[in-house]
Order: sequence, then structure tokens, then C-alpha cells
Amino acid sequence: MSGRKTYHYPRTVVVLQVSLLAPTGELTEIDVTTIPISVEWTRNDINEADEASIVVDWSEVPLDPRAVSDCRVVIYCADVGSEDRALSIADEAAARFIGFVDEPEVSFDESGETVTLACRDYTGRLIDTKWRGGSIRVDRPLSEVYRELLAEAPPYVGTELRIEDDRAVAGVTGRKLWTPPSGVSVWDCLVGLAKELGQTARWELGTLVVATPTTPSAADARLVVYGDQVERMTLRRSLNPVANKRIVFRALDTSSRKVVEGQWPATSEGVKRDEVAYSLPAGDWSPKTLVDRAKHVYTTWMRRQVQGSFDTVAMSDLDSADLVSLASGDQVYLQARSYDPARVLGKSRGELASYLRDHGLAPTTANALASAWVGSEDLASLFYVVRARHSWSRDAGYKLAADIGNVIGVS
Amino acid sequence: MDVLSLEQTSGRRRRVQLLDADLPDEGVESGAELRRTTSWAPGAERPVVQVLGRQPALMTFQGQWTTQGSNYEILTLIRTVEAILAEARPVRLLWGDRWERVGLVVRFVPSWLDADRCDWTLEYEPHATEQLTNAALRRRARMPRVDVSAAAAALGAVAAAELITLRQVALAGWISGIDP
Repeated sequence: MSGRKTYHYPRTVVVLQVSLLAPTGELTEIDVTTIPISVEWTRNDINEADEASIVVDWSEVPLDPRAVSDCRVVIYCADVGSEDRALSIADEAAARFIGFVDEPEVSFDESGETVTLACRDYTGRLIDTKWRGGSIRVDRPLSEVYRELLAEAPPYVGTELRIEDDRAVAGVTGRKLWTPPSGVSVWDCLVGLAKELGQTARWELGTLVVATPTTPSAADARLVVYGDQVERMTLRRSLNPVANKRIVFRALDTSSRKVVEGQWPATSEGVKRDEVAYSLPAGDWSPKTLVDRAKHVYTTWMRRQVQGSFDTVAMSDLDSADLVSLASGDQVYLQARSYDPARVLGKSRGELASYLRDHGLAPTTANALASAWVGSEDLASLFYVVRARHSWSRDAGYKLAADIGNVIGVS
Repeated sequence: MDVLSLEQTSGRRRRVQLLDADLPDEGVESGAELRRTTSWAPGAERPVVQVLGRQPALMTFQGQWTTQGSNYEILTLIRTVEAILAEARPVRLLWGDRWERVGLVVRFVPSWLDADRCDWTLEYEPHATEQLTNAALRRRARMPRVDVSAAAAALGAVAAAELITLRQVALAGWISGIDP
């Protein structure tokens, strides 16, 4: 029997920081802490804003959209461990989402009166805000450039920054000015500048973190099992892969202190293809090394790209690691087992082959199928999370639905 | 003295106090339920249980008010309870020294058998359970400030030995016009 927890005590609290507009034009700021009727938040990849939807009872929080000038939300959710404990907003580890409301809505009908808040994290408004400043002077620390860009969107003035490599981009590009493509957003500029130093930009709740990507460790992967706490699991693989995505690797070469790039197929082939770009950790890189890796991933991807999903109501994995914090890019081991020998999943290879022969399959076919099933997990059992959708409601508790893709090694 | 009291905690603070024959029939239950979700994933040896919290159970009172046995006009009782339900203000339910609840009267159905007898059913949804602490019990046992002379004037000449009884009755709120 696994060592996972059986009993969970899911509790959720939301904090709303509302700017109320009076008919006179006067603004009043209020803080409201409440237990919602339901809440859902989705951790997307770093190129998309995380999203959330909060439903509160109108009788508890009578927010009229006509009076709401702006609203910031914080979602707290955790397993509090026992019935006599409550979730406190002082518990920072329980904060799962911070963002702005895009659209408040009230609904009145016979089933009740509710307020629904559709939200995105801090990435959202930066994606919506176009950069109109033209070329950017980059012969100064990256943090200084970031503060100038963030000032374009007023709510972000004073945002907490954490930048690992705060050098001037001019030191890498050799040019004092950095010119973004026309029509890009402020977020595109922030990400583009980070890339020049081999870094990625992402929001960790209310902090903008700029750092070189790290190699994910399989040791940190969560372990979830269909046959234990996973209620639903899907895996699929396209047998007709269309090799139409060029693979691009970028990394900061620590010797030259410059960002180098390698791609496959090479642009000199003259074929226009969509590209998928990856940033690698800083190290001893050369363009040739990156081209070799891109080629390996390109050819391997065609053979072994597996995608899938799983659903669970467990709040921790088999080793009691927290699942409520699961985010895009995290790794999971996903396996299918059963403790019930009457089920196909509960049989050994020999038992399964015997079972299939008893059901009319030829011995060679039965043996081949049984071997393929038992050996399939050697092909792909470690996955990365593409998207993690977390939800909680007063009546149904907590649920996690995750979309996954398999990890392809490049060594 | 066994008294069942329903009193609004705000607004006009309407109050109904039932004792003797006005009390509900026996069989009143006061319980609780543990809200939880139990999920057995296919093939799992044990479930995933999410404990959502304790929920007090709905309380149902049934009884009969009669013209002869009741301490009130039946219609007065019915109209007071109906008003308490309609106003939907939190209601404190107090039964002797057993327990105290705060919740809502959610259903009340009087059913007339004849002009002098009315069966009634009342459902009360508790939202908070409060055990009477020793301090609260002492507060309730404290002798109230009763204008005994006013009570005596209302009831006629009263023997001295009966003054204590008057105070006890005033505590129960049975004598109208005297608020302990």
C-alpha cells in the first residue's frame, strides 16, 4: 500500500482588493476576505497568463460591476491537516494565485445571487499593453530597463523584481539600443530582453523573476498512479507526426558570455517552418552543440511525442508532496497500476498473456501484447505538466486536472 | 423550569417562549453531519477523502397548541413565529440549560384540527452551536431586576413566599411586561 495521505482538509480563502468608484468620481479602496462559493485557477506555461475564476455569494460580497474601478485578487488554498484548523491569509505558502480582475459579473436568478470574477495573473495586463516607446536604451542594468517598461502599466509601478543576471544587455549585444518588433506588448519586450542574457521571465505570484532556466530534476517529480489516487488518465500519441516545427535551442555560453543559438532544420534549407524555442541553462555551449541537440530532439520528437492528462482529487502525491502547487513545467511520474488481479492492470506479464490466450488470441499475439504493455512504461513514464487546472468549491472540495507531455532526453 | 425560547438576535427581537403544554412533543433530535467527499479511484485499495466540515443537522419540532392548555392565544403564537420566519433574521434557540443555537427558522406549518387545537411543525436550521459555559450559566442564574411591585399590582396581592417564584417566572419571561 502506498504511503499517501487518505484524509485531506481542503480550505480556500480569497482576498479582494477593490477600488470602488462613486458617481462623483471618487475612488475608495477596500479589502475583503471571504470564502468563495467556488474558485478555479489554471497554471499555464510562461508564454501565457495564468487564469482564474472566482464565484462569491452576493449576500456576502455585494460587488456591483458598475461600481468596480479595479480589483486585485489573491487565492489561498491548502490542506489544513485537520478539522479544527482554519486557513489563514498569513500562511504565504498557501497563496496560489495573484492577479487582476478582467471582468466582474453579477448574476441574479432563482438559484441564487452571485458575483463572478474572471482574472489573469500579472502577465495579463502586460500582454494587453502595447509598447509604444520605440527603441530602448540598454546600456544600463536590466532592472533599470525593467522598471521603465513596467511604468507603462500603472499597477506595476513598484513591482518586486528578482533578477539573477542584472548586467546591461548592451554588454552582450554590443549596441546601446534594443529595438523590439513593431506592435509587440510590454510583456514581449520584458521576455525578449531577458532572452538576450539567456534568461526567462516569469511571475512567481507578485514577484517578477528573471533567471536562467534550470534543468528539471526527476528527483523532484511528483508520483501519481492510476489505480491509487488518479481517477482518470489518458495517453495519446500521433502516429502521423507532421515534422513542421523547427527546433531552436538558445543558451548563455559562460566562456564568451554571449547567447548562442542552434536550430534544426537549418534556415538555409529555405523551408519556412514554425519554430519551437527552448532556453537551456548557462554552460559551455557552442552553436554546433546546440544544432546537434536540436537535431536529436527534432528526430526523436517525431517518434516519441506522447501527450495525455490525468484527474485527481488528492492534494498530495504518493510521497505526500503537495499537488496544489503543481504548475506548468513541473514533472510527474504517471503510472497505471491496479491492486486488483481481476483487472488487466493488476496482472503480471505472464498472467496477462494467459488471460489474452484464454480470450481467443493466438499465443504469439497474446505474448506480444502483454510484453508491449508491461514494457511501455520504459518508453515514457516521466512527463512534464503543460497545464494544471486547480479547482475548489464549498460542496465538492478540491480537484486537479493536468495536461501532460512526455520528457524527451537530449543526452 | 423547562423553557424553549426562540428569539431574534436583531431587529425587533421578537421572542417566543414555550413551556408546559406549549412545548414540542418528545423526539426532538439535535445532531450533526460531517460533510465530506469520498472518491474511490478505479483499482484503488483506499479512497481519497476530503473532509469539508461539520454541519449541524436540521432540527424539527412538532407539537400541538390548544386554547385550554396554552399559555398564549394560539393565533398570537402563530403570527409571532410566522413573522420570525418572514424576517429571516438570525434566531437564538435556547432550551433550558441543554444547549444554545443560533440559526434560522426555515419552515413553520400550523395545521388547525379545530378552532381550539392546532398542530404545528417548525424546522430550525442551526448555523452555530454554542455550549453554555459556566460563566454563561451563572449569568442566566443571576436574579433579574424585577419590578415585583408592578407584578404584584398586575396579579393582585401576593404572599411573600411567592415573590421568589415571581422572580423565577420573570427570568423565563413568562409574565408579559416584565423583561428580566
